[in-house]
Amino acid sequence: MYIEELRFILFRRRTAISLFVLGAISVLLGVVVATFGNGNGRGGGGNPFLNQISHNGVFLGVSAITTAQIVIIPLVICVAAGEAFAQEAAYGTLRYLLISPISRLRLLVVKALALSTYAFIAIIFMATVGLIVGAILFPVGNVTTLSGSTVSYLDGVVRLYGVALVEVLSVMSIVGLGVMASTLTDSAIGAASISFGIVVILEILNNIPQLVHFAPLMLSNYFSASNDIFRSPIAYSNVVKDLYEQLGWMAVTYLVSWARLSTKDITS
Amino acid sequence: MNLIECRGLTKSYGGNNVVNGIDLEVPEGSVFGFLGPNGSGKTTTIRMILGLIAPSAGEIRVFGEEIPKKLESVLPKVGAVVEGPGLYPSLSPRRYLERMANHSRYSRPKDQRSPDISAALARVGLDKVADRRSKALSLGMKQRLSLANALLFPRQLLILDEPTNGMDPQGIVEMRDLITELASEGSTIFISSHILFEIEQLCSHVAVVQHGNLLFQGELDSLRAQMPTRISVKTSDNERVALLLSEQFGAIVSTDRVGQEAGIIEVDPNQIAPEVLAKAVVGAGFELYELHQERPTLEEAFVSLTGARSDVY
Repeated sequence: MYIEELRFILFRRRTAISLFVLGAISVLLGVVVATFGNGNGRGGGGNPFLNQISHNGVFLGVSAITTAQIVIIPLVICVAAGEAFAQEAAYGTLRYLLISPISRLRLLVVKALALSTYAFIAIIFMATVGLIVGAILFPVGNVTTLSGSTVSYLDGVVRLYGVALVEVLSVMSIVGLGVMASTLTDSAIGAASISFGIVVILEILNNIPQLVHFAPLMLSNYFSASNDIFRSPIAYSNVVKDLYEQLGWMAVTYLVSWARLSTKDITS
Repeated sequence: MNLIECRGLTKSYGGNNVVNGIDLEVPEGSVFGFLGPNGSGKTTTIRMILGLIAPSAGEIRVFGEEIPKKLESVLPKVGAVVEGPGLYPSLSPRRYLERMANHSRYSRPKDQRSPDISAALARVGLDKVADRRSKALSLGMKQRLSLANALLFPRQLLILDEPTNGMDPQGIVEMRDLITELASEGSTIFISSHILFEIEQLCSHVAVVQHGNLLFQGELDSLRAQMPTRISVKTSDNERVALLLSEQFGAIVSTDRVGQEAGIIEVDPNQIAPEVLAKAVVGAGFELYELHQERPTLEEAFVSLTGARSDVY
């Protein structure tokens, strides 16, 4: 059932397009930095890895993930997760699945697991494309961490995948949100819009200084935890907080999903 | 034993009873026609039987087990087509059946987990388009695919909601043959349709619903028996024969078509037996061209129960 669902998600055209877009971010970022240089001294924005790309290719994958984590990754996930039940309802396949039969609870679990796996695959794919493109366009060698120390290239690569895994953890709440929205409507695009809208609103609230006490509740608050992987030694405290926060969001969104799904009249 | 049993089954939306206290009994081995005009609550009833919609009141038992509590043990024995096909546009028929089988895997015994998909497709005549994308299929073909899905596993009960919708005449004939075949193999078949002609040829039992109320249920023959039969007669002079019959026997003769060339007149057989009528006509010197006793069609029975006007709510 789980393999069926994963296969169903992976082998469709929109998944290929999503993965293409995610991969293209690394390529685009790499080509721009290779062509125009680091852009040192300009802007000096929040992403600490961008300036490192031209020194070491391993930072291309890291930069791609940290650049995409606010908008594009959540969007890709919301589109996929929003389809979970809404698209089945719109196609009229939800009724046939349920009478095939598969229990509603089992279907929810299977879909949530498959979508989480999809998020994992998408982000690891992004890291890998970044790693390869980075190795082609930029120097490969010892990596300077954010703390200033130097670690081996292999250590750097492991840390890149560490960043990817923290990012996978960070989007578990978004998968839950997408699934939840998908149980509330029979329109996949509606579910994707609702869940992505919530992600964006929470990110905006997260950045309002007056709400700083509520910030830990915003699902994107600990997105920067991935930065800590490139510190020396690695700082895990934010990753742990992120874990708690993600578990909280998952609990809420999946409980709402179940409450809705278990009592829903399937009239589609 | 009744495979489906509903007591006081009710579904209301916003105080409006779409299904209003239906008591349904579908005996094992029957081909049960479920009839009603559009919007009469047929599909809602079927969805409640399959656990897709929760009833507002009443109880449902399928194979004697309570629905929706025992859905997971009941549904593997039930194949269904509900309100037309529901397909994934980009998946082929083969892949569609595979997906349905994969998802329902753990609800079946181990030896029933890998169905013969090619055989199921061949049975409904879809073997040639098995690997085409579903969106390229015609409505009739999609309908066949839905049926293949219902027949993917050995089923004791088939619930078919308007299964011939969108099919061409050939498809309808094939569907009828298939249903007859399935019935002869021992499956109980619960079929809803508004094509009464088909139901009449297939079904042993019928139920008629309207506005969510059950108007009739029982054997098809007993529904027919409730309807008046009639004798139609064609003679050399219908007008004078009509007069003769009403004078001699006090029979009420339907005069709708009296006097027309090649016309017929109709008489209630309870008032004059056919043989008496024949003797009387010939004895009075008229020539008798035609005489036959007509059984009412299901369509007539249906209309007499539901009223000729079709009210859509």
